[in-house]
Amino acid sequence: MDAGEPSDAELLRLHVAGDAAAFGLLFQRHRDRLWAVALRTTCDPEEAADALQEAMISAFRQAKGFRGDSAVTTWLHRIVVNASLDRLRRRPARSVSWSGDPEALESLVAHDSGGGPSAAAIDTRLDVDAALRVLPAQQRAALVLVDMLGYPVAEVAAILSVSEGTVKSRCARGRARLLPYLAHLRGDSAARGNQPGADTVSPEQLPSRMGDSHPPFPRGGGG
Amino acid sequence: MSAQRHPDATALAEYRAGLADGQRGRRLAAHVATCDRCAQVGDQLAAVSSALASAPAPAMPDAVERRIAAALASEAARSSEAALASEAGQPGEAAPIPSRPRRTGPAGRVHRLRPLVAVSAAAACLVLAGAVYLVGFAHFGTGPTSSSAAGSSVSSPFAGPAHAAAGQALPVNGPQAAFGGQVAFLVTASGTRYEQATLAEQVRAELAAKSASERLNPSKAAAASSAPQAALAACVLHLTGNAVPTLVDRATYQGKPAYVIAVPDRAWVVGPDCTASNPDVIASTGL
Repeated sequence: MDAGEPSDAELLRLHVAGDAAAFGLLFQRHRDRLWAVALRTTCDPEEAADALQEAMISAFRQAKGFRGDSAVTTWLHRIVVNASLDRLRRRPARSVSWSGDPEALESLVAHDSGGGPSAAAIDTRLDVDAALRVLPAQQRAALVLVDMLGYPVAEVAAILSVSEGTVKSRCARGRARLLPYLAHLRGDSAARGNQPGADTVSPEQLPSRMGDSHPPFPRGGGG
Repeated sequence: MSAQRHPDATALAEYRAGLADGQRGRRLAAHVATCDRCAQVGDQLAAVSSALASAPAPAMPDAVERRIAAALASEAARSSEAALASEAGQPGEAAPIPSRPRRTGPAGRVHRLRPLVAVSAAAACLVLAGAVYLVGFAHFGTGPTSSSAAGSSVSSPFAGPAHAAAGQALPVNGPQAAFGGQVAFLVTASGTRYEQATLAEQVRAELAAKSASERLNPSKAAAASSAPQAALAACVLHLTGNAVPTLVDRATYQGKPAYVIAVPDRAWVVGPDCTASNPDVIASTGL
C-alpha cells in the first residue's frame, strides 16, 4: 500500500463517521481475497456472489460495532466465511454434491484476469475445485484459508472463531481426505497466484505462510 | 517393525500438524522415522497442501464487482440520509444520548460513550460538508456566489449542503433553487448513450471532453449546463458523500434515460427520478 493511502482501520473509521466512499474503497482493496474465500468455500459462483454481497452489506452496517480487537481484514474475512457457510447450510444439497459437470467448473475458470495462468495451472485448479467439493464445509473453509490463501493458523482461528487446535485438526482431516484426489499433483511454484491483492495489504495485516508447511516442490517436477 | 500396523492418513496428517502429543506422538514419530510407506504418505500430504497453494486464484468477475459496488453505494446513500435526517432535521429521532447519570463501571461507560461519539462524528461531518461546499464554489465559479456568501457559510456550516443532501429545508421551486439559489455543480446534457460494457471508458471520455470545453470556452460550457433540481442535487451529494462531483450528465444508459454521476475514482448511473431517499442506482463502476 502507498504511504499516502489510509489504512484499513482508518477507512473503517471514516466510514463510521459518515464518509460515503470509505467502505467502497475497503471493499475494492480486499475484494479479490474475499471473493476467493467466498468462491472456494461455497464452490459455486452464484452462491459466492450472493454470499459476498450479503457479507459486505452486513459489514457495512456492523462497522460501528467493530472494536479493533482484530485486524479489519480478519473481521471482513469472518463475515464473508460466515455468510458463505450460512448459504451452504441453507442449500446443503449443492454444497456437497457435484455432478461432475465440466461447465460448472468452466465458469470458475472463464473469468481470469489478463494473461491468465498456464494450462497446467488451470488443470490444477480444476482438480482442486473438484476435490474441494468432497470436503465438509467446515474443513473446506479452514483449508481454503490456511493452505490456499496462506493465512497463519492463529489468524484463521480468529476468522473462524475456533481454537488453533480446531483449525489444525480441520486442516489435517481435510488434507487426509483430499489425498486420493490431489496427491498426484505437484505444486507448480510458478503458479502461486492465489494471494490476490497482496501488494495492497499492509504488512501487519498480511499473514505469512504458516509454519507447518513443507518445502516447495521443484518447478516442473510433477507428473 | 513390519508387523506394526500403519497409522492412517488422518493420523499422519494430525501428526504433521503437531496435533499428536504424548505417547501417541512418540509412537507415531518412531514409526514414521523408519517406515518408508508412511514417509511417502507424509510426502503426499505435503503435495496436497502444495496443490492447494498453487491453484491459481479466481479473479472476481466484473459483473459481481459492479453488483456489489452498486449495492454498497445504495447502502451508503440510505445510511447517510438516515444520519443526516436524524442530525439535521429531526432531533426527536436523533441518536439517543442517554440521560441517566453515568456510572463508573467500565462496561456501562463504554455503552454510553458510543452514541456521544456518533453524534460528534456526525457533527464533524456536517462541518466538513460545509467546507467541501465552499471548495465547490471556488472551483466552478459560475454560481451567483460572493465572498460574503462564502463567509456566511463558514460561520454557519449547518446551512451548507447537509440540509440539501437530506432533502429537507430546501425549497424545490425550479432549476435554480438548489442550495438556495447557489450552485455547487452543474448538470451537463451530453446525450451520450452510455452502455454497460463501456461505461467507465465513456465516463472518462466525457470528463475529458467536459474539461476541454470548460478550458477552451468557459462561458459556452456553462451555458450548455444547468443547475440541478433539488432532488437530484440531494441524490448526487448522497452518492458522492457530499463531495462535489466531477460530472453529472443527463444521458441514456442501456437506452433508457439516466443520470451519470462521477467523482475522480468512481461513477454511478442513476434513474431520472433519483432522490436522496431513493437513489435508484442502476450501475456503478470504478474509474
